[in-house]
Amino acid sequence: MALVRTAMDADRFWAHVAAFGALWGSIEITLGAFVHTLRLPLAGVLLAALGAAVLTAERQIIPARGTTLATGIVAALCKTISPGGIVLGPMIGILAESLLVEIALLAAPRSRLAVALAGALCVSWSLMQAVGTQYVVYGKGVLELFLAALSRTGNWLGLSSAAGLGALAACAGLLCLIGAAGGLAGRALGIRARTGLTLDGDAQDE
Amino acid sequence: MSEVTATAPDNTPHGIMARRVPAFIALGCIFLQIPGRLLPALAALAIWLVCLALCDRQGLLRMARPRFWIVSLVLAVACGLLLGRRDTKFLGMLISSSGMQSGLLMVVRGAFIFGLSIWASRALSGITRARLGRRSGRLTGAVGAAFRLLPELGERLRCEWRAAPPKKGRLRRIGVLAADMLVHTARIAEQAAQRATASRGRLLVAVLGPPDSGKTTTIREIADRLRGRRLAVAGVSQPKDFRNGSTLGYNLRDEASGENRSFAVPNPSSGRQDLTGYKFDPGGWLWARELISSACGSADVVIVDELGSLEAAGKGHMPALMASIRKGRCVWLVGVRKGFERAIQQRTGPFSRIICAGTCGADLDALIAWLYAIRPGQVKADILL
Repeated sequence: MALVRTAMDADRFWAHVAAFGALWGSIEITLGAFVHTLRLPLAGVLLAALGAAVLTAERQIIPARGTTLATGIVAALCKTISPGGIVLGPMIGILAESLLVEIALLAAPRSRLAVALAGALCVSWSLMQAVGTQYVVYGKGVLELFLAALSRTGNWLGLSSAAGLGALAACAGLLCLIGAAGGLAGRALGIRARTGLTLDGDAQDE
Repeated sequence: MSEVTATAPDNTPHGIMARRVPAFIALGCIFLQIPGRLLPALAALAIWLVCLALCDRQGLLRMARPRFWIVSLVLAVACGLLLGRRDTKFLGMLISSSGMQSGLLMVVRGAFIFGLSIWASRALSGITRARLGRRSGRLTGAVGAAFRLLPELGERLRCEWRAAPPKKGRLRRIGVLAADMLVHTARIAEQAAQRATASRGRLLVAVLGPPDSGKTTTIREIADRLRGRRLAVAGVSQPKDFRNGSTLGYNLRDEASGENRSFAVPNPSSGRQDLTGYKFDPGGWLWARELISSACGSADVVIVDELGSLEAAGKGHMPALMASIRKGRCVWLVGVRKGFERAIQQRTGPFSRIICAGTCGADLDALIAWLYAIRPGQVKADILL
């Protein structure tokens, strides 16, 4: 695996961190503001899957360790200029997602399994953050409320509590699959981009 | 997308206090929230709202978000309906008083955290920009570069999206759009990395002029004078093959050994007057590449002559020059055809110094003295760039 060893590697590392951090930041600022304004359901999941795609694509181009985390830091700081106003939550989300993807890609940044895991972790964090934010904002009462609502809905539908939890787990699994698909799509796009860049280089050499 | 508005932070004692006082008040309010009782939580919210009204009125105005308040009220009512035993009538509905109380506590706590996060977000944005402006370092540099790239990437995202056929066509092309965007971003990164590398360890002196202005003559004059000062000069120049009063083509000359070989002969079928109107010997490119590559590391000064339209497009001598620039630290003396200097600098990084072809006398003396003084190993070249 490539590590940052020489000054030239460092130049490449930081150039990619800046460019891909800006790309992820601009997606978060433009598309993020757009989907939140439209109140689209699962907007966080969509953005997390896109983030996973950008990060995994980047690691196909530059597999150096730490790239993903540094890109996350740059993207999170880019988010501070978002016109939305409240940036603390998204910033924490971006940092946590990049950390999870970094951990998932630590051993094998180009393997399909690691990339799918990275995408799934990224999206599951967005779910956990949604619940965590509710907990921080409204306190533990909100969790009791959610569980009560879940149990009441199960009773109305004639389902047991285990079936309700099973349905919840199935939903979470489906969302993780979306994340994994985002990660794998990012991997495929990253390989295409890498090939495109190599062809550019070859054309120049000729 | 909003532009980066780098407003200077107020660093007067009043400005610093205006930033610190709300932070202390926020800490106090958080302590009041910890017991989870309605009255202290209400007191904390009231204190915080007053603080926002005095210190950050815009932040207070941003709390007027209907979605947040509707969600909070729905949660409070849901608590009354779902939590605890229903023992009270409210608006004709049987609700739980304990559930309603915990719902109210949730609304109060939610409002406080909401106000706190608005203030923290605004403060964080200001602090980030201020610190980024002051500090230097690779991460700070990367963030600064990312800020500069944001408008371009945002605009490209929008343009790519609009350029695709509407509705179904857009969805079908989304993979192609994403791949284009990634390639574009990666290309920006690669070019930036190349420029950064190129500008760190190199001193690039350009001799600039139109065709027949004497670029090669000037370069060879400089080379001879540097050799006279016991500097090792190598690389490749491209003198004209001028015989019987007419130009028969171009030769390649190994500046280290003085060996010549024919390189380009006129190609009448192209009908062009510039260098691309010549037919090149493919073996000549390889020979030149080897000379440039072997010169770097062994010579103090490496000559690469006749950078023009081919090199501006990344062809010709450019790959060898870039590889050599990445490889080592020395002085590169390049002949650049007028009109291509900007395109070539986009690839190599900025020239350290540009002189006109045909420069002689005191100007040339000054250049030789400068080159001798700043040659690698003599002083740290980065200071001069």
